[in-house]
Amino acid sequence: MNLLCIFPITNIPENYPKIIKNFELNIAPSLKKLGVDIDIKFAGTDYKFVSTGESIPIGSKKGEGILECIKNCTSQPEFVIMCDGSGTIPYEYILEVFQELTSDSSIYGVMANRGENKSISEERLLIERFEIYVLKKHYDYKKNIPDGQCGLWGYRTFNKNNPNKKIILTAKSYDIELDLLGELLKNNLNFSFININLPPREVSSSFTYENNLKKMRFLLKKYKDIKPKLKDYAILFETTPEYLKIMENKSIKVTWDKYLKDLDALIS
Amino acid sequence: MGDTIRVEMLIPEKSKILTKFKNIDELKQGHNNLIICKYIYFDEETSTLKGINPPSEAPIVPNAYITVAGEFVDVIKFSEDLVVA
Repeated sequence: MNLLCIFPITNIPENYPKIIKNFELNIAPSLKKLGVDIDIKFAGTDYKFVSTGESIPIGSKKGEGILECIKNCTSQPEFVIMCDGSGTIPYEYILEVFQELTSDSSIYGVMANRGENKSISEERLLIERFEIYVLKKHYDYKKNIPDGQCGLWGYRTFNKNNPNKKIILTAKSYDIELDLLGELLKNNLNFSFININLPPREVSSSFTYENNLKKMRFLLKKYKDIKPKLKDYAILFETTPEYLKIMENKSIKVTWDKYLKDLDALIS
Repeated sequence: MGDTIRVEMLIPEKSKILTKFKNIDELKQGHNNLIICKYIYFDEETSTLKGINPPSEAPIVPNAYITVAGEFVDVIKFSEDLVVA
């Protein structure tokens, strides 16, 4: 089995040895017992993607170049796992993602569920939940999706039963998790979650409000028929228990109202 | 398999490795337990990306991507050379 692990580290070279050491101590021993061939790639630089006739895994931000990363592996990876390289998510959870992915051949994607502690602002959480809600509605998916935007996830690169229904991720940045969820729902592929507990956040995030709009632009570009329904989805979302719960903190309303205005501009 | 890993890393600006080794040949000698699988760098003279199956004389420059394979202990040692000085 070939496994490709990608760590977006936003160009913090100090994290190279930390991550590799952690991999050696806590992850590799179990993978070795399974005979897994490991590729590790670090993503997250300002380098622009350039091609010299051969596809090269150079990305500018998280997620960019995943397809190129896969193409350039010595052996085609059967599994890809991405874990934020900032250190917020304990790297040991990679093993749980891998075990879950390989526990059942019908599981094509595994995402981390951060539970109550998402380690992000309530404003960002609200918008994340709305984005998930949009995809759920779009694909009429009835089951609960407890998370789906954590920076730890993995997927199978092949579909032996139906080669046409496989996951192809094209997102370039923070939209990569939505890309994965969308591909799973679009292709009607089974997915599951592993529960993780995040420690208190010690590092700042590079995520900004503008990234919310970039994510929605990605969804609207990839799933063109969402656009005419987006306002209806927003109205319906405002009736959901999770919206009401988050909105108990009334200060969040300011951000939500701004977001809705910005969405209006996006779809007009 | 199981004893070796392959790791692709960026050589950052001000990385220690930039002053320690001038070219791939020197780097190979300094980390002789590692296999240098791939090296991609921007050649300012010709304004092109070069690399892949690294030529020995290729210069070690910032913002290049290098893929090495080897035992964990050797890869970690190498990655410590990439930390900013």
